[in-house]
Amino acid sequence: MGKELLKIENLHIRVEENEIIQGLDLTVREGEVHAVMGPNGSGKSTLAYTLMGRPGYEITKGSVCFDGQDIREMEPEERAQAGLFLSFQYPIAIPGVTVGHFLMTALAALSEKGNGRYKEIRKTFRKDIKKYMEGLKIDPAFAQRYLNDGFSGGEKKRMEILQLLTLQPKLAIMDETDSGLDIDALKVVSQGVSEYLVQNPKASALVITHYQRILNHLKPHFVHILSKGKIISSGGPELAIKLENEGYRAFGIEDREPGPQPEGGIHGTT
Amino acid sequence: MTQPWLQERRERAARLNTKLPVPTGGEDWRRTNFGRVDLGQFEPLPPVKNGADQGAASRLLPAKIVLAGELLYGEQASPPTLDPALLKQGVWLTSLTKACEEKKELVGKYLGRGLHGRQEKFLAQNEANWQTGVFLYIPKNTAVELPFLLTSALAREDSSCFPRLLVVLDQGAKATLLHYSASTNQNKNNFVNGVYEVYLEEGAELTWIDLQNWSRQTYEVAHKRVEVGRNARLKWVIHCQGGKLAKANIETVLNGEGAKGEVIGLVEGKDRQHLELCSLTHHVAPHTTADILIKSTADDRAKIIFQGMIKIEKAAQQTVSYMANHNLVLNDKAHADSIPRLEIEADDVKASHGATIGQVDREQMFYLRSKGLDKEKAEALLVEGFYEDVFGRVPLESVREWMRTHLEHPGG
Repeated sequence: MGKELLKIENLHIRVEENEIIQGLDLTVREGEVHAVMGPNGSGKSTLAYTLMGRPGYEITKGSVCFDGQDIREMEPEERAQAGLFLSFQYPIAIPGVTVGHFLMTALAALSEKGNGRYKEIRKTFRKDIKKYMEGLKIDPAFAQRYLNDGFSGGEKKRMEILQLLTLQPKLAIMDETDSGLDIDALKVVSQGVSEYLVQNPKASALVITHYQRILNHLKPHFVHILSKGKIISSGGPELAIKLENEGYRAFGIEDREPGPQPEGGIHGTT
Repeated sequence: MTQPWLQERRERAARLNTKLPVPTGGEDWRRTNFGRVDLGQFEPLPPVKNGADQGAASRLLPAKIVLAGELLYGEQASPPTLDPALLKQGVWLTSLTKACEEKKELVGKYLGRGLHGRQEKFLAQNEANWQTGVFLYIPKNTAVELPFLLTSALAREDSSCFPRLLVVLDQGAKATLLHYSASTNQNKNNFVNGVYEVYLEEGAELTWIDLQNWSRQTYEVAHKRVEVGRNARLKWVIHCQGGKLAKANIETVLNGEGAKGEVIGLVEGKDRQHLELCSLTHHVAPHTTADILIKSTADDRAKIIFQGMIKIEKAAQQTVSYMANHNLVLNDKAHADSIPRLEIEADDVKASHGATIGQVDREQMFYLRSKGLDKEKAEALLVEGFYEDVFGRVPLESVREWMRTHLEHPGG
């Protein structure tokens, strides 16, 4: 068994006045892929944002350790520097800043903190990014486009994977990476995530999703079902199959129609 | 020796200067108050000597550019450097004093032409007192490919400096002018009141890159006016970052049919700077077009003010005028104001303006920080992105790059 990379114990999270996560336990070891599945409003995105340190997401109880460090008080950039990465469900547009410039700036920021491997990554950055873009079927001209500005939903998701491949974190949190993607795009994006996992055998992924389909590509070692801020069931890949066949009801969960998630509400208005 | 016609003008202006108080009120002046500055503390610069050598102007410029000619003015002046071929074609690049003697007719025709009759304190003060200046003249149908550089520099302190610039592009002439104002010492306390006049005759085309980098201890009033003649073109890039209390009045006067003006500006306020940019787009003739884009950032405790006026005379039918001003406030204690105005007498025109004042977007900040950029880097990147459309329209690449890197490493 690999080393414990992420250890969450009895986590409680409050957003505004609401306690969204109510006692969550989860351990991810090196080299593992975990899927967290849940219906809308179960707290999936809240968990992702909180792990990344988004302002306004308050941990009221419990502990979160990443790579041996208590990250509860860490700034988002400190978490990124420690090796956490969040692939956003709704990536943000940064007008005036090109994809290439952003990636170089991010790499420079990460390597400044003394992490030697970023120096290595920077050496072959230009060559690698071309290769990654090709694999993700991103037009090379995108390197000169403004980050996520006017990109389609699918292009934005691919851009997140391009960042994942470039920045090579220890743990990738994939927040609904499959949402809004057609079958072909989903395949390309999943291959990108797989490539990252193959390249980094010790790296792990936390795949947050409503649907099972992305898991056909990213074979998870563990599947957790999230409901009302708690993990109500954990198991192997068979759990995802059961969910696919019998629906959330098989777990005693009432699944509302898919729609904008309440915890993504801030984005929903933009 | 001063020319009698000039002497007479100076005396008239001196009387007006004595009569008029420092303006402190009215829409034009109430936001930037020079009434609270003791202007008496500044000693007028002594008569300017030709103390500097050729090439002094470009040595002060923080960018490397191949030039058609250059001249330093301000506290010290350099002899002009000018491509001999251009000299032969009739291009003039000299100190204004020399031009007043040797090109009396030409200078007399243009100097102050668009400013006569104005009852304005600071205009009169400059007219009465200017000690240093430049005259640049491009004759008819002469296209000069490489840019001219004029650097106005101050090193001493507690001085008042009254620079004067006169640029004339005759019919069909083309040129690029790089104008750089800078203090060579960042801690010096000075007062600068400059008047800068540009005349573009029929079909002339000028690109004017105007970089203001006075020390943050400088008080500045500037009047910059460009008259754009029939079918003439102006592209004006303004970068304002120096000054403690500074107000630049810029005027784009579209004086002849088919005249076009484009003004792109960037105002960066930091520390306790108070910077006002006051823009007038004056459509006098029909079929004229103007496009003004000014972007500003206010950091620390800085205060940035933009006043923009589009004025369209009754005769200026079929005119198109656009003005945009966008501000990014980077600190709770910083402040930005935007006051756009329209005054339209003609009925068949298109005129519009847009103004925004905003803060750094929290979503963007979190996004960038989550990817590893600390607060400062994320903010710097967002500011860079904010200015990118301005940079994208700066014509000289080396200047564009300097503006970009300057943002990343201020003072460099």
